[in-house]
Amino acid sequence: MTMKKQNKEKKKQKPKVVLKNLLFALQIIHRAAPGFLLVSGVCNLLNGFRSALTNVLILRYVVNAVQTGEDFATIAGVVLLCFAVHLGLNLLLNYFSPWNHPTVYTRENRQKIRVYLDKMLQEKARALDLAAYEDPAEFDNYFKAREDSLDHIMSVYWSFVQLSFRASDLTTSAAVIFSIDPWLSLFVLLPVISSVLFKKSNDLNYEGDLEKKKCRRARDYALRTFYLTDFVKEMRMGNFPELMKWRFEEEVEAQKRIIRRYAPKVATLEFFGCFLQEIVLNFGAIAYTVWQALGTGRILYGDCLVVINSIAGVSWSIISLTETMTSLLKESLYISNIRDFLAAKIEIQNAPDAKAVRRGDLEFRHVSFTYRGAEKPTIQNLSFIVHDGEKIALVGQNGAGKTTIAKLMLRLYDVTDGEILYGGVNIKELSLEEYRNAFAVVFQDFKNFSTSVAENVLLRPLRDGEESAVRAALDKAGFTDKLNALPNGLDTRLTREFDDKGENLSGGESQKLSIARIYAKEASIAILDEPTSALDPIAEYHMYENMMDACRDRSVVFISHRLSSAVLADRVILLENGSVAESGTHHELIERGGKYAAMFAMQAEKYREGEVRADG
Amino acid sequence: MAETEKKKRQKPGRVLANTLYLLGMAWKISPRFFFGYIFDALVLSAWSILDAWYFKRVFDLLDMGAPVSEILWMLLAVALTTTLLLLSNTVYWWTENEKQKLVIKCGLQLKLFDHALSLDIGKYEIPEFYNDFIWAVRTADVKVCEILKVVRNLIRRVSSGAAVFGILVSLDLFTAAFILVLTASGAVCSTYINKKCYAYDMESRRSERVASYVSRVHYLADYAKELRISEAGKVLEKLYDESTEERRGLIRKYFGKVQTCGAFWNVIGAVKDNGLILILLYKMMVEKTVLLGGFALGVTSSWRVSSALQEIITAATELAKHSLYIEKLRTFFDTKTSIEGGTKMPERFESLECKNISFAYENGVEVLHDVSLKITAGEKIAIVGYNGAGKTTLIKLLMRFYDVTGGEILLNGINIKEYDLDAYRKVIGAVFQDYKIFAATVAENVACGLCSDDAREGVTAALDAASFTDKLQKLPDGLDTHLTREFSDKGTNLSGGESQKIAIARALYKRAPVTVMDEPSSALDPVAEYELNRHIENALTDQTVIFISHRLSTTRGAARIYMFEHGRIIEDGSHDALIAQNGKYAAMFNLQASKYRT
Repeated sequence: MTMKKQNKEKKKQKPKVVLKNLLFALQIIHRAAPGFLLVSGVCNLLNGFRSALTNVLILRYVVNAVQTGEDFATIAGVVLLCFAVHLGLNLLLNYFSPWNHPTVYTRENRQKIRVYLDKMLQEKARALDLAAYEDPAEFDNYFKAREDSLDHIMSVYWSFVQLSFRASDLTTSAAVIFSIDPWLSLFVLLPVISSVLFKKSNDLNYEGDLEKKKCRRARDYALRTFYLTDFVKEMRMGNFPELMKWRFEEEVEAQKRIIRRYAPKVATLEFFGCFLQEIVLNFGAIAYTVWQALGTGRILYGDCLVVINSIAGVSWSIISLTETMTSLLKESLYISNIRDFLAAKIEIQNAPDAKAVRRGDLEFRHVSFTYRGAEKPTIQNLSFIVHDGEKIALVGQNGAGKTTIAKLMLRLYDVTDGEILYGGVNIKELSLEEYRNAFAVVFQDFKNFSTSVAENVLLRPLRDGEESAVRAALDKAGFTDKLNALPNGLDTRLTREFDDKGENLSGGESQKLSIARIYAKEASIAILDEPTSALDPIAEYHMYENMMDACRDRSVVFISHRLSSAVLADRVILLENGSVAESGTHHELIERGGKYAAMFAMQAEKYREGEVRADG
Repeated sequence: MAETEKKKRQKPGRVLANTLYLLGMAWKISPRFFFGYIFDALVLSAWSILDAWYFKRVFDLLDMGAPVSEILWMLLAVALTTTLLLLSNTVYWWTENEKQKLVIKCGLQLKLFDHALSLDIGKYEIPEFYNDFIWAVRTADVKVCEILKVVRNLIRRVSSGAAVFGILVSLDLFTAAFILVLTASGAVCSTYINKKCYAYDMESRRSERVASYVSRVHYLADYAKELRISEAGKVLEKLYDESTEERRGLIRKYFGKVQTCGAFWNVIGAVKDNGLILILLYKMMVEKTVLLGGFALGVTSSWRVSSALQEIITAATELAKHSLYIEKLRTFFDTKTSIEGGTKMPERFESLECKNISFAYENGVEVLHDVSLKITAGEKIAIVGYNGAGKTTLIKLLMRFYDVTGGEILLNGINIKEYDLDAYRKVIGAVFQDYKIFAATVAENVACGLCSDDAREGVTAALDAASFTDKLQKLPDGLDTHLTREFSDKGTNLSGGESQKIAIARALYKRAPVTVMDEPSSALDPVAEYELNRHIENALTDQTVIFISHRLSTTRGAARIYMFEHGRIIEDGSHDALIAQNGKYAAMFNLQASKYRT
């Protein structure tokens, strides 16, 4: 009676759409675990019958029979028969669809559904355009689709199970009550009124919760400031603690005021709702039945027992049916998220008649690119060539479009205008997988996966006999000392995501590891996007030297705002607002005395002063 | 945190002591809540006892052939009593309980708040302590309510179950014994089932983590690029399949046992339901010792006895689980700070000196060895060295976030341990490397607390000195603009550079005798870094300042530079002297500068 009901999503959905969504969920269950729905459905029809048999039918028979003077042996025989049926059904259901505990059959099917769903979602996620990740609204939807997707599908399953249970349980009990006295069905309808009251109080509560949310958020924040390490120093230096405590207590008071405002209304509604359901319904129906039994004799004692014992249950079942329906409506929303996600259009795909990739120059020809939803283009009419085997440094201030160029090169996005050619062919016409395979990349925000060191270098499963090549790549990246210190060498698992013995690498170490990816892959073009941000100057210096040496016959594109790296490149391209501002060798650009020279001078200023003074 | 809930068996005595500890705490925070809660549990229990009683009474009266009016009057009386119980329950639940729950939760949080603040930072850096601490704090509000709920349900179910059982005993001893025995064996089965399910959850935890990791990686934008340009997807698929296989084995192993036990449980259930009917039927028809009311009560109310028994089992397991939590809470409250202040108040600042100090973290590894340095009023010194050289640790020692393990730190020639802690910390103003902007107004952020009207002028001046004025004028509510979006979506999020200026303004506003600047420009691009450094230099002209950096261009202007390596000072002197000395400092400087020499 004081049960808190889940707050309902308030969005109108068309019945047809709801139906489609629910069917979609059932279809997934059916495909992943054929037969599971049928078995569960049948089992729960039987289950509902069992429940009606023990709670209603047998009790009614026994008491009525006693009253009408049946002899003990006959009654006992019927009870024994009922016992046999009851026992048989219990044992059958125990293995296939129990209410009280999981079984091998149910868990295995649940697992099948889960794997099917997960794989479907993962496959789709891998194929999705990168742009989808960068549009917050769209991404939010995808995120929602994936979150607890199994729970939502399973919740449809449970509703299905419940409906089949009720289908036999409720109809049997209701039919019995109706047959005892049709007027009793009026009592059963009382809960309809109370459910209106409960809904009202629910809405009020929801409203109150919304108001409280703000307070709770502020309180949570105040709490965080004293337990998170981030704040620990400041909290000991100034008067922040008083400020935060003051805020905390203010929010508590505000929340109390909200409670005071809502409580009287909610309590009144709840009281009358419960009053109708618990008192008027129960005692009304009982008084009526007793009166009928003694007055007219039309109703037997067994019927009274059924009424007293089950009428509240029947009305409760009706309410819970409406709750199942509302929860299905809510699930339908989540499922439509999943459906939308699976139906999302993918722009970047293999061309129908994809051409094979041939090694050659990489050329940007009048390329422009605007991020989805952005007002201004990030890349504007950009043209340059990376000749086969050439080392290019892309430099420029933050926001000049350097990283975007790397993404365009990899066809993580398609250009908005112009074209990118590789070996003289527009990259849209090339086999996507093969084309991307021509690159080895270190991203600025490189990531380690929770798998072995070797697989982290290769970014694919390790094949037999590849260990030495992986070792050599790690050696070139300056990782050997660390490798020797790892407990299981190349097989050591990285990160502690799910293995408490996993190895957490430091920033510099993981950067070295990601650089080893370049050495391990026989790619014709290497892209390094700010590859040394976590390295100290000595390691940075060695990294560049090794890279130049190892990539003698490949093209390399460095992206950096630390100009010191540009000195080593064959050619420097200075970007500004998405186009080439200057281009040439380091020395040419310095002599030209343009923007590059100015930038370089500024970064070098302090150091150069030092040089003069130290020398003098 | 989930892993802290690992199964550690606790002795029943300990569980009881812990539960009482928490109840005692709740009692101290709000006795009113406590009474209300127990009162409500008793109301509900009375309700169900009344339910069982009138049920029996109605049929007894029918059986005895009582007049209809007597039954109806009795029903009316019961209905009125029930209405009263319902009224008190609803009113209590929706007004008093809601409010008092809040009081309990927040009262506990405030206690945690105060205690956390009294702890020294070193405690935050012991991972085991910190993890438990976070867990204790984050879940305090939920946990305290859960625990109280268990206690409430226990009172409610056990009292009503015992009452119904009492009625059954008085009715017929054999029937009562039959119910008790079968209910108890059913409870044994369900305990076994719970245990196996729990064991499955524990053992499948790792494989669950793998599967959820694989799923998570797929929707994290950070991994999206890597997944598209490599075959890392195959690696992940392999991980996922392995985890599925592992779980499949576990399902067979555990749920096979569960369903076997379930079969017993189901047999017991069927025997109990039908057996009860037969026994009572026999007593009623053959022995004639039981009336119809007894029959009706027996066949419909035996569940109250089993639910009481079930509740005791549930409560025992729940409380044992929660007891672990309370244990952490107690440990937390029992942990005392190891940094105690003295009584002296600092006088006018003359000097701050480290005399042969050394320091080791809790794990025993010494990170600073025999460090000596001194700064006098108006001086500017710099501490340089690569990451991990011990620079930041030194600062934490100066602020007395930790105490030195060897040697001493002296303020005006007196050991800092002799000063009042708060007063001592006021001597030092700091811009931390990892400064934090609070979700408060700009003024409060600079003043580090509530900002009185008199203080606003000083705040404005400090912001100006930190060259924040341009931005300040653009802010919608000036000094009263709310920072961060923690509270409202209308809050202002500052950029990294702007936040750093706020952090610097804090130090400038505080005008502490000594200012520490820890890597103040670390995250900025070269142009912004250059400008910021110029502003800092201007604003701090006459101040006593300690600069810390690994970028030597930032610190070259200092009067004396201390070069740290592996926790020792290896060189010190002015920039020129150090360059002339041509040691490690000179080598580091030249290496950093070399890229810029053309």
